[in-house]
Amino acid sequence: MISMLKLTDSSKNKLKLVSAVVFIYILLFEFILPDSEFFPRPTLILESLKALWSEYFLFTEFAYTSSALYIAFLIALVIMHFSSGFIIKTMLKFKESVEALSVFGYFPSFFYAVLIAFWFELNWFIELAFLLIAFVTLFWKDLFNSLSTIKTEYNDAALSIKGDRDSDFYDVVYKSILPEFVKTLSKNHLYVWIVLLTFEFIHDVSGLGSLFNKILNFHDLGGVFGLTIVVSLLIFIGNMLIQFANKRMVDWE
Amino acid sequence: MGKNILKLSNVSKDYIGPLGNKVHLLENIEFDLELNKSTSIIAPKGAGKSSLLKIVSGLEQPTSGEIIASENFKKVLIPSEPSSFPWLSVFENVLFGNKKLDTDKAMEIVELVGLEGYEDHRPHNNSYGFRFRIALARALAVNPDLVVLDEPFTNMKSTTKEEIYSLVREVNSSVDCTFLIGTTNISEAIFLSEQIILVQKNPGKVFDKINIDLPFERSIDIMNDEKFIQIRNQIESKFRKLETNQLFSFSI
Repeated sequence: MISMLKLTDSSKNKLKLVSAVVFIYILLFEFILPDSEFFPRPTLILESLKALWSEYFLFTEFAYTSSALYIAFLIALVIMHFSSGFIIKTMLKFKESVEALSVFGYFPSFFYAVLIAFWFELNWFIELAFLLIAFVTLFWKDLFNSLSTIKTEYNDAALSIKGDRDSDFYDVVYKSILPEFVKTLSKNHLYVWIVLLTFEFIHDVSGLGSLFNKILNFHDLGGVFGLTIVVSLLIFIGNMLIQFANKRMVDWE
Repeated sequence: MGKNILKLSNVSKDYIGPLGNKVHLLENIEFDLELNKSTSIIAPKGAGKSSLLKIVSGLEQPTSGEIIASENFKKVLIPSEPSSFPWLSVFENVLFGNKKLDTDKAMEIVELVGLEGYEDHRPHNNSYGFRFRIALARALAVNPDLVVLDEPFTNMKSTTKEEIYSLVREVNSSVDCTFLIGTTNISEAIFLSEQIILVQKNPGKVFDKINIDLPFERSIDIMNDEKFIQIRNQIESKFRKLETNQLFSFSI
């Protein structure tokens, strides 16, 4: 964990860029253009953050959203880990049919979120189930895509020793593609965050997405900026944890 | 004449190329493998050597012809790139194919390939030689009748190569199994084998077989021996006599 906190050159550059943007923003909208209609004053954003905490119950909404998201993420990872052999075997057997399923990838995720709103009354478990399906589908899709990166030397060696009927062979295939697969986790994490916010925004019952909806109804521009900062920070921290976990999952790379 | 353990009869292989054209890769390949005698296949790059070795290993099917071997004949392929699994320790790699293997027996194999003291090491980032030793130990753990080596020495340093050549000879003499080696390196083939099969390209077919009349126990110094050099020259001249300039793909 300590090594994670050590800043790389790339992280230093990002930090410098963010600091510069914040500095320019403060200078521009606090002192030069304090009455802009498009961007709120930094002090207004700070006040909105306080209001989000006390009046919009930010912590409760954050707990609602993030618990559903990260529990679904972990369950989906466990499902994928334990079903990898069976899934890879099935994917290899029905490769062309699986490829044909990619057509559903062109459907916007927004459609699925709206569909769930039609079918169910939202509660935490429905949200969890929706997220679980989203994560598992994305993981399987990326697992399938990663199959093209399998190292033939591992494949041939395992096949030669075990044959393709042995579960150990599929474990080798899984381990061989795992380094490519874990690279997609951060991308999926961000994607599902966006889908989830859209989902909660449409349902407008609970969660950070519904908070965006409420803030929009109140035309609270400072609140939109404040909440966006909070959500961005959450995604950033989530990504850091995922990258840390990736290194643990693929500790031979 | 030793006991034949495997026979290739009229093995041919065609495949459809990336442009939809039919490629005639291998034509009527025929040879026998004798028990405990190493055989090398020398062929230029692109002659279908790897496909042939995969066919012998049972990983690919020939278009025609057959491979005759006894029932339960066990073959293990060691590919050209390092194939020891980096997520497993040396000892776990050895047990990969035979989890029921007795610990003492597994340790014997580890010692035989020179990995004693490295049982808990993970093979990633280790040298080609280290990773080859693991792959060899993993192969030996399943008691194979035939170990097929597909040019695993190509990327090794010359000093490592010499160590590994000697190791393969040592294993060949102490374990009851036969080696089939695919290579483009003539000296390597002579040092490691009792029989050499010469394969030409386009299509890949056997054009000669040579029995290596050298003592079974060999040290690296034998490469400077007059007889060794004579055999090497003989093989080179056989390739030179071919109409194509295939020798350019070889190293000596």
